[in-house]
Amino acid sequence: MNLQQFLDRLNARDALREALGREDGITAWKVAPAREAVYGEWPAALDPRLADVLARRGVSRLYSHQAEAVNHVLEGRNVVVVTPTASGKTLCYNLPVVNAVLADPAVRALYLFPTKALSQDQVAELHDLVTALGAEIKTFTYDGDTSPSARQAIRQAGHIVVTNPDMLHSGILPHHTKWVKLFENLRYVVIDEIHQYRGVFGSHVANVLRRLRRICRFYGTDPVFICCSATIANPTELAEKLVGAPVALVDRNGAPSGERHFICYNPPVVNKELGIRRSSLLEGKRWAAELLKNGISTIVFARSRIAVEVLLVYLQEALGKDGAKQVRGYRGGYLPLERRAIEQGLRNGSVRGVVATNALELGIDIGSLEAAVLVGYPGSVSSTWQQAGRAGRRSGVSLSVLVASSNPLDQYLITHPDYFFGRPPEHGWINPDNLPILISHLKCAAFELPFADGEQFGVETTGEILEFLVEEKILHHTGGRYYWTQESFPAEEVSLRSASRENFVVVDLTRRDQPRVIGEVDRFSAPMLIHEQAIYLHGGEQYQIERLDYENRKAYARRVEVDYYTDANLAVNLKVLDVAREERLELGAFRAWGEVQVNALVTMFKKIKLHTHENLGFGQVHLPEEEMHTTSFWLSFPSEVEQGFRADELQGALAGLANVLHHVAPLYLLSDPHDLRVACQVKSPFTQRPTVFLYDSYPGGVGLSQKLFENCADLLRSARELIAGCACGGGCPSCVGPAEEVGAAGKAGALRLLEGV
Amino acid sequence: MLTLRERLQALKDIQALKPESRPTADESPAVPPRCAQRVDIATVVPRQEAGELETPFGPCFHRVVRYPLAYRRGCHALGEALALPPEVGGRLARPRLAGADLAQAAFLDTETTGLAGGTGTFVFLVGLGHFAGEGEAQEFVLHQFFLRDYSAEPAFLWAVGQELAPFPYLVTFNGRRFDWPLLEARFTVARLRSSLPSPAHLDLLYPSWTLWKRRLGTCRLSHLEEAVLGAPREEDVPGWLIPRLYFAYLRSGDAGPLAPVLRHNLLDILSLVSLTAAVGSRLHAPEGRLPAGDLVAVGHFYERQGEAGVAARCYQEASRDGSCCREALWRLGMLAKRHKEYRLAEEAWTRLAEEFGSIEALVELAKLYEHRYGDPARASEVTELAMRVARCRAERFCQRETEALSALTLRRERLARKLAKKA
Repeated sequence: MNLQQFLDRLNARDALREALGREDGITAWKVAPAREAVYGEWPAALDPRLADVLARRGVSRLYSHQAEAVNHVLEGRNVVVVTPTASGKTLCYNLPVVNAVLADPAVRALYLFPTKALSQDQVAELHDLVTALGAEIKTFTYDGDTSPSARQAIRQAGHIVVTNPDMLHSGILPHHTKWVKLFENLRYVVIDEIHQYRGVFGSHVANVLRRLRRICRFYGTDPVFICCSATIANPTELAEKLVGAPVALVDRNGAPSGERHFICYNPPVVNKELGIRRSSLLEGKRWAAELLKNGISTIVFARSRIAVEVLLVYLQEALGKDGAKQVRGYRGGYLPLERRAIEQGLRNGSVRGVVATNALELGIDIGSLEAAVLVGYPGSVSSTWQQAGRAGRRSGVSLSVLVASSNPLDQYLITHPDYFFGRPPEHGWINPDNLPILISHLKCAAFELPFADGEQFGVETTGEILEFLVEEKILHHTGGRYYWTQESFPAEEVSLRSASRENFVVVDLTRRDQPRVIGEVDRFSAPMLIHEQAIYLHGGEQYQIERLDYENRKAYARRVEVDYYTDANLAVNLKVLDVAREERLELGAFRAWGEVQVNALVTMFKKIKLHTHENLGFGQVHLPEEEMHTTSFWLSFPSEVEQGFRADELQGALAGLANVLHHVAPLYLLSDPHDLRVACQVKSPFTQRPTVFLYDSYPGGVGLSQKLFENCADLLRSARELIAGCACGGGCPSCVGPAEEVGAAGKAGALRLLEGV
Repeated sequence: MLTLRERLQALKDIQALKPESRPTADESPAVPPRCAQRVDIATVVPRQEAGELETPFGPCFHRVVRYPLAYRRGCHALGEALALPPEVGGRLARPRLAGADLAQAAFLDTETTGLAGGTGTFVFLVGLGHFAGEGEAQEFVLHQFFLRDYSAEPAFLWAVGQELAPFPYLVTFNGRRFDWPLLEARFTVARLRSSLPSPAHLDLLYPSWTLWKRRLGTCRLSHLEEAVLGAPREEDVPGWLIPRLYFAYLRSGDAGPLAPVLRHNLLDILSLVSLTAAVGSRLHAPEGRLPAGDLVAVGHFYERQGEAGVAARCYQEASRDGSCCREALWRLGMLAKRHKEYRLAEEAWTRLAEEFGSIEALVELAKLYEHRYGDPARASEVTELAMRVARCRAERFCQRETEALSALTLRRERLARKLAKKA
């Protein structure tokens, strides 16, 4: 049975189900018709050798978006290319770059990829193109794995240097005098996957790029930036904030595509009272097994590594001896060679099915498959389309199935499919001017080159901050310049990927002779996650924290197998420092955002049995209080609402509402749930009223709170729809949280609060 | 809204701002309290030594100190370095030069604002010495260039570049990895890269490493001064304090506390000359005059330079002395094996086996007999012998010998099969 036949049969069955009036199962089925290719003119300025080589590789014409992007770049404009998976975006940058090097061998280009795996794949592809050209164009990867002997050659001779933002930050920019050849001749900077540079990471990367442009100015160059992005709502804005200059948008995709089906599927409820549905993992397996048994090539996306492994085992069992070999796991941690073998297998048909984590959702050439099964909502509209895009050929039918989990966000989307299909993908937010991040990079920049009086680094207040650093004896002002006066190497103290400089590392002592670092936890989360006796989950394994060396920021753990997890009780004391904006809503509620001080103290933790969620016991935690200044959004309700509640009920209602808001907030922000935290106060000392706070979990805030303020109406509507639409009785993990947590009246209370606004 | 200053203050209070928790220069006890008075660097050195060098970028502080050739730093007089033949000087370079006349060498050492490297580390003091004059008037001249202020860096670097220009050779200690790349970075940032000459680099760290690391366990200049030159430092400023003293000077303008730093740098250069003499005298015609320990090290040095003949003679001579005999013989055996001098190797290993009961040497002998001489019977014989030795030792529960024993057992079995086949 081919995919078309499979879909026909599914359609007939679904019609039957609908006739029987059942609610679960397929909640939406959308079909996007096939699209013809749109071609553009071959840019006349490109070297004819490139046309020959591409023609030999079966590319006789450029798609319209490729031609448009190349033309922008050839005319010296920064560009951001936004097109779906497998639309040939790499040519958008490889063509102008290789063309420029062919014309002038002195020209240099820098490629930035968010991960090492991606850069290795790109180098391989570029290498093929260069080899086919027979040109002397040297492409090198410069990252943590590059040997010291190779580094010298790369600095001198590499035409195209492929690296990642972290290496640029700590390995290249602070040593720019060793890279004179690169910076003096830097014509193009390629930044792929810019949608990954959002939130804290993106805000850091924007500052690294400020430093890059500053160093380029010193060496007399002003490179053109070529960015690529997955579909997000604001690619131009994100690219311009990252690059710090105007960027032209190319988003009219000229690549052809076949007919695409997208199905939303909600697993059936098994316990209506508790709101428990059949596991999305098992349902996802069922879909994938059925597709694979019919010989339809399928990729399955799961949300965690452990889910990948479990699904892989299930599928291999389901397919029997012969089929098992045709299904492979594909996740972070696989070596390039293993991945190449899987890719090869997909192309020659010996591999039909792949189970992957969404960490590897894009950019890697695994060819096109017929079907994609998404086990659980990937967290954003943008990622959902990225993953669905893995199924889809330039001709022929393809299918994507989104299998919802019982997570509130999943349930909201699966039960409001029109909302999902109707809305644009999320915005990518960054705030390069976040003060702690800005200062970190201002220090790095001052280390790289002294600041001149009046020089600006992103913000108008640069001078004032530099003066402050002089007072702190970090810089020294003399002769109209600010010079670095510390012995340290500031880039080493700034990690682009983690919230706080003062991260805790988790050291696995399972093998006495081979202690190894398995993870990092930011300072503000440490008391919650890695207090002594905590069960720390990493890579699907359980570890128990044996000792927390708070002074030295180290937690020592050992692998265990237990049937419980730990949940720390966090007492949050949130104080409003300053209100940026406040606005009265209907019926006397207020929305606001501003600056807050959060003090967090963990005093105890609970041991909770897996699956049944029984409470198995308590433990004490003795750790100092953490303090953070950040930005927060808050919603306060008129004091009159109190009258309708008993004291503990109001607490439960607020907590329930906070849970829901926390879960639906990612609908409006391209952020992860842990980028935000919530707190609620029955009578806030600041507003004097019942208040729910959602605050940025990074010191100084990265702008999420402000966006929540702006999207307040949508946020509240989604929250209301989610709670009202949930089939459970008195609260469940898919809406306000289980009744044990928010009280029996939590669900009704949260809804009542929302009705008030 | 909070003001920027209030926010900066808040960040500082929660420690997000300070890069280091160590005390800053002004707070550390070893730095004298800040002096309100500005004291120029020229006033902290003897008047006749201080001077200003005019450059196209402005003046630069320049100090000259002269030493007679007979001036001793530890057990060597400065003139001994001058007396070394160019052939020995050439051996100090990597890759080796046919010759390097130390009369044409600049001896260089820098003081910096840190060890981190990168473009934010500054060089603030350059010491540069060389031999000058003819015959009776020959002397060692030591220049110091000082960076009065960051903004005067172009003048400072230009002056250093000018002073270095005439010298085809450069002598440093660890300059290849530290001082020189740092100077290159400074010259590049100041856009004066073309004013920095490129002399052939004689970095004493590498020969010192070969000669003394095994014996001293470390190869820091201060240890070499003490153990090799017999010139320990007294009342010297500790290295970690130097950047902090300079930062404090930048802010206070009081150069007084920097006097020990200038002295520290002078001593570094003088030690560099003395160490050159120490290294050179060991490398120059080593046979027949060096103690056995030095001979092994010098042999090793020559071996690494690809001069197997000299190396072998050094090892042979050293092996006559009990203290280093074992190491000398082992090195000799391996050297001879690499150069296919099997008789010589056999001789060395036989001596090792006989005098020290060395299992490793017996194993080497077994390999030699089996693979080179095609004599499995004899190979088997020494293997048996090695096993007896190993068994004796293994009884004392030595892990290494137990491992050796199992490897030997395999070897014997293989030899037995080979013999059986032959028979």
